[in-house]
Amino acid sequence: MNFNMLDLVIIFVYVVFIFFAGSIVKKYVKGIDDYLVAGRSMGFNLGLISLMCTEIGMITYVYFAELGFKAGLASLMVAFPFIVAFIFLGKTGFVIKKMMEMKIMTVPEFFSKRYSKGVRFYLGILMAVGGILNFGVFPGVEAKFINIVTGIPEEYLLYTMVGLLTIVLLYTLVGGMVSVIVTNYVQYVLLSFGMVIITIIGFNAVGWDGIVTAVTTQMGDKGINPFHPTFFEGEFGFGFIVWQILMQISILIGWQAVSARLFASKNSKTGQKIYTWSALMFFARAVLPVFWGIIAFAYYTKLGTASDMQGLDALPNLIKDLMPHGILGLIFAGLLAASMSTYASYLLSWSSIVSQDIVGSVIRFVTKKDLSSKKQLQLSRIVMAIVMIFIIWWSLFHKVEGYLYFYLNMTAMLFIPGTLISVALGVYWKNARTLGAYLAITFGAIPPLLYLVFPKEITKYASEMGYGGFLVALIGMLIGSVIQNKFMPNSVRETI
Amino acid sequence: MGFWEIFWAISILFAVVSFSILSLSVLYKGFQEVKDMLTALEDAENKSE
Repeated sequence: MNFNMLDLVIIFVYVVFIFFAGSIVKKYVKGIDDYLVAGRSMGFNLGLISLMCTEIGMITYVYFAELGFKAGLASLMVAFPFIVAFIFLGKTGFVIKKMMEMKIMTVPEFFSKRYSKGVRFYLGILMAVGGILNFGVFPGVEAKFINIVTGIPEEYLLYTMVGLLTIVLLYTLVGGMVSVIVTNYVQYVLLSFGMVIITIIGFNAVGWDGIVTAVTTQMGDKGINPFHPTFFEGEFGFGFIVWQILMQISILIGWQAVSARLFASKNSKTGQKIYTWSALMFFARAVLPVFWGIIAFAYYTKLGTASDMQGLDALPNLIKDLMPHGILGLIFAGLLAASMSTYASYLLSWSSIVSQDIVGSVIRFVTKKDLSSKKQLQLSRIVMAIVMIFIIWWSLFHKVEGYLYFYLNMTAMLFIPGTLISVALGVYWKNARTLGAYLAITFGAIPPLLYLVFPKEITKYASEMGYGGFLVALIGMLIGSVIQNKFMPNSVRETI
Repeated sequence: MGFWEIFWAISILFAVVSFSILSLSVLYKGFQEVKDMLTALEDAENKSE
């Protein structure tokens, strides 16, 4: 065990506090609306905190640190598309303003209003598959992180996963989104403290010269220049930047766990303001953990153990080896809490897609009536339990090829290009039609599907597959809409 | 020092400083919002009863 009594007391007190806060706010949760979007009662500062807490878990730090550990300073380029995407959406209100004015709760709702219920159902399936495959690697990666930091032997990985998910399930069922928002506040205190303190202690251990020397001697120019050998051929060059900007814009519009935060804000102005200021937060959310990975690389290069270490293990080892007791407990409690809120939000988000947009649609189609709010809540909880069982299984048996960050991006890409193109053209192009949406979603899913099915062969073409997905989705939308407008101009909306 | 070395050093420094200042700001102002949200939800609860 790597913790001493002080660390254990800090972690215990914190977990007890989180559950206590969750049970206190539970009384405010009455129906599905409260449960899913906290009754749209979130202001700017809480919105920003909540968005950060949702999008930061142990896994976030691990995949960014892996990039830094394997690709050096050049991989810091990953942070810049976040700034572009957030400021663009925050300042222009592109798409999101319209969606918030329509008071929608999930992205697929837009599809049923603008296109048809059939498109909503189809997108819901891809969203659920992509989202759950994405979520599916969380328990394995995070349980391994916990085992390394705490010193629990690796053979107990399954027990750590089950323990982690049990805590999360209890936490989520206790209060839903209201408790998530309240406890997020406290979590953010620890999280922000932890992020700054790891950076300072880590940096002090190796120094800037140590970092630059380790990166340039071990990785060469590629480790420091993202455009090596040229701007168009570099691993973090033109293709990567275009893909990531499109990807991040789409995530902010169509990623349920993120957009749920947007829909939970008081009005569209607050939502836009949250996105604008999130630019700086998300920049740091990428820069700092990538930098920790680079620090870990320099530190373990100095010790001569870097070549034996896997990229995903770099950060937990660095935390275990460098953080003093007390601070180790605080950081671990913050990370555990961060993961709990990420899990809670992702569970709520993906299970609401499955329960409302897939199962709910089928039940409505069969019985010809809507589910009551209580039944929806029950269904949402059953789906949550099923999702949990699946992600444990997936974590145990799926091995990720290449960077974990790219795998996570590609699972999201299963629905993201089709969503962005269909939503954007649906809002701004009156000739966008249902057939176009179907083709955009289908075409956009093909490149990421190839990446996920043939990871060994296609890993090196990740960026091309990335922006290619958006390009073919656009082509699909144009072809489908032109065909429908030409041959079926008055076609009846589909029903399911 | 080459261009990229300076560029990354400035980026990292900027990330640490801006993140610290913004975090302190949202935590300070967010505290009031937590209280307001709970009060609003409690009022709604009382009215419905």
